[in-house]
Amino acid sequence: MVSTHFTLPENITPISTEADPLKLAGDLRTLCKKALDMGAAGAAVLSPGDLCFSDGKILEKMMQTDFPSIHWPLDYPIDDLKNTLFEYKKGIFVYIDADPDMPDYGGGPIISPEHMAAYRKIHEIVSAVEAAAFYLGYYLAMGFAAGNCRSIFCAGETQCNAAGRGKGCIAPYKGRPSLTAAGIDTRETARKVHLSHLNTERLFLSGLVMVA
Amino acid sequence: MAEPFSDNGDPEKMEALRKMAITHGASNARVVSTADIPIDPRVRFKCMVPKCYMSGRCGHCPPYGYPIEKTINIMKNYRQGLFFHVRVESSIIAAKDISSVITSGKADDAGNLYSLGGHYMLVYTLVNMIRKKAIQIGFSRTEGFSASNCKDVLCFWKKGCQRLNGDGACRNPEMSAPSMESAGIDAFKLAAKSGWQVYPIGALCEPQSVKRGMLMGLVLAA
Repeated sequence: MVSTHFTLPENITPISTEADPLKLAGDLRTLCKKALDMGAAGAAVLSPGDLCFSDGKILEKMMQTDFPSIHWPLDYPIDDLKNTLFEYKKGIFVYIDADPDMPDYGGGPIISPEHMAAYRKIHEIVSAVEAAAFYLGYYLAMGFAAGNCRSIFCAGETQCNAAGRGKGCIAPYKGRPSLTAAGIDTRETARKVHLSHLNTERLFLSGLVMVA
Repeated sequence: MAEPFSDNGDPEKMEALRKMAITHGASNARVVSTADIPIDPRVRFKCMVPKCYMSGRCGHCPPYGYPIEKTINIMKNYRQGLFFHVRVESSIIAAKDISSVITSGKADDAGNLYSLGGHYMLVYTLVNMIRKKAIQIGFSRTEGFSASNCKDVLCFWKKGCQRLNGDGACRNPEMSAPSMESAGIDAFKLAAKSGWQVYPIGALCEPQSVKRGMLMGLVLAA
């Protein structure tokens, strides 16, 4: 998903092999500001060690969905996502407030247009932050959002095309795995990164962009 | 300034391969030690999160293709490789709407789809030629890595990757090769370490956004 809010940096510079902690710190602030400018209620820098992983019961519950997709439950058997996340040093956790009356859709269809707009919003913020990070030279930046991408981008389809052998995603570059599907406990992670204003007892939708 | 690479072994034979690559169209080529080739699981995941339009549609593209462990094991069997790139003008690789043209597979009036496809074909051809030449001059085994997905380059006019959708046999087993990125090799980092100017080029880029693009290939020889 390419955000309409997105503008390319004026000077795209060649990729550097030098790790510059000062530049990274400045760029993370810039990316947090971008998320907030796009409507995030909060954004915080985190390290992989701040990510709280769910117990297996949640993932087991996801396996029982009647609305499966390549990202719900996350289905990449020959690659280890958790280990991969720990290859990063820094990322950005973002959230938007959700309707307090929003039901737990799990991976199923999202009935309310208002709720659908919220899920799309968190995807849009994550996409824009990830793209901004990419053009700043963090070409391995990787974003996660909320909800089952099939419910959000392919609700009218009878199945997830990407889940079939030899078939691709019909909404490429849009859908991202949810944090939950990646095995991350969003509520505990939000508590750990001390986002001001976030009441973790209330409903929220969260996203994550691992940057560098 | 390129960083020095360690232990190149068989320098004369590798120089012969390097010269051949340049003669046949590589813009630059460098002998690298496998110890200096960065392998990173994030690179493979970037094909899947978010999903690239080819992810799952080509036998070499994640979630298929070489898992990281396989690439690491391959590297253990080699000491050196030839890393090369083919330069692509930004007017082609960062042409307006080239991303949607590639995804749709419909040729554009400016000819950028076929021009870019020709550059990719050169990378696959070079990988294949270098591997053959390596055997001719005395290496006993080789492994090749190319750029992007082989389905769009070698089987553009065919419906589906036969390895995934057909009887399991690749239509072009000799020319086909996994891309560096699909195998988890961080080609950008290796290029930067080689002193080559490599730019992050995405769908939003336009010709004036970046100076140039490059497509990279790697052949290991032992």
